Amino acid sequence: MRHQLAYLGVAYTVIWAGIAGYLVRLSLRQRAVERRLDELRGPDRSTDE
Amino acid sequence: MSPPTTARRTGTGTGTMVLIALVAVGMVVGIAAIFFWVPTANCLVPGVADGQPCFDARPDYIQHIFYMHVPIAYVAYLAFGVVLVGSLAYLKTGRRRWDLLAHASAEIGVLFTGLCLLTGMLWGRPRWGTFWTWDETLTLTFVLFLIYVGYLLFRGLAADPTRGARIAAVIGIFGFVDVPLVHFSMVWWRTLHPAEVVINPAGPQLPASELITMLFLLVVYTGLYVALMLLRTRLGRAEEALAEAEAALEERPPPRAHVAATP
Repeated sequence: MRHQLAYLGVAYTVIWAGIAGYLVRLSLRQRAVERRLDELRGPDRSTDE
Repeated sequence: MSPPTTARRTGTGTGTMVLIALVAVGMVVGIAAIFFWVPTANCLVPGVADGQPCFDARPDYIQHIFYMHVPIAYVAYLAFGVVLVGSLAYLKTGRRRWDLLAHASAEIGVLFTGLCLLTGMLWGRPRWGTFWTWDETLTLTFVLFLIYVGYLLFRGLAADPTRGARIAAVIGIFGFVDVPLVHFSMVWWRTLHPAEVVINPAGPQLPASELITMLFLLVVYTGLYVALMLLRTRLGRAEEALAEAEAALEERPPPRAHVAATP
């Protein structure tokens, strides 16, 4: 039974790790893109104003 | 020239956050049902109804993987179905939003197919004595995974994004042919993979508690797919805005060099 629970535990961990990892990756990419957009817009705004 | 501001800086929408919270609650409820409601004994024998004695009443915790594996597989089908629709619409209309939808869904579909393969392997090792066998269903699922990994790689490596998106759309359309092959391989051939017990010509072949738990988790995983799609398409829009902003910056003439007045 311990053997079965080990496989079950690994399977559930793989699922949560996969989904959580993807969410973290999306979040990091989103932040990086928004930071870069802010950098690009910053000087534009100052020259336009 | 005004700055390109096609993308608004947006936080994660309230709707998305509510959906993620509902998915998290749904997962907890689903796991509670798996461990405390459905029978732990091996009752997954077609025709065995709730209340009837199982042939093999030993605890069968491995079967708990099934309640995650099957909804994950269905959501992967759904994701590739959305890739098909998005790709067809993009080729017909040329609108970027369809390409964005297809791209986002392909990425999530690859994630779910990968999870489906891994959970299947972890189910198969104690059942079959091996993590992997080149069975028809397993092989076709692996091919499906490779097709859409190829789709994503192609998009990432294409020098011309527009041409890359059009060719990726063709891959996305033809790649979908493998989805019914994966599903019906369990019906057409005597594969090692267990037969389809939910979408079955003779009706669902599961006791009520197991069927309800599985269908509930199917709804929860579909909600998770929608939440991931909302987040991924938001990122896609931000990336497009960034690409436009960078292109506009390159097109802008360089500032004139200061010419000192001659005396």
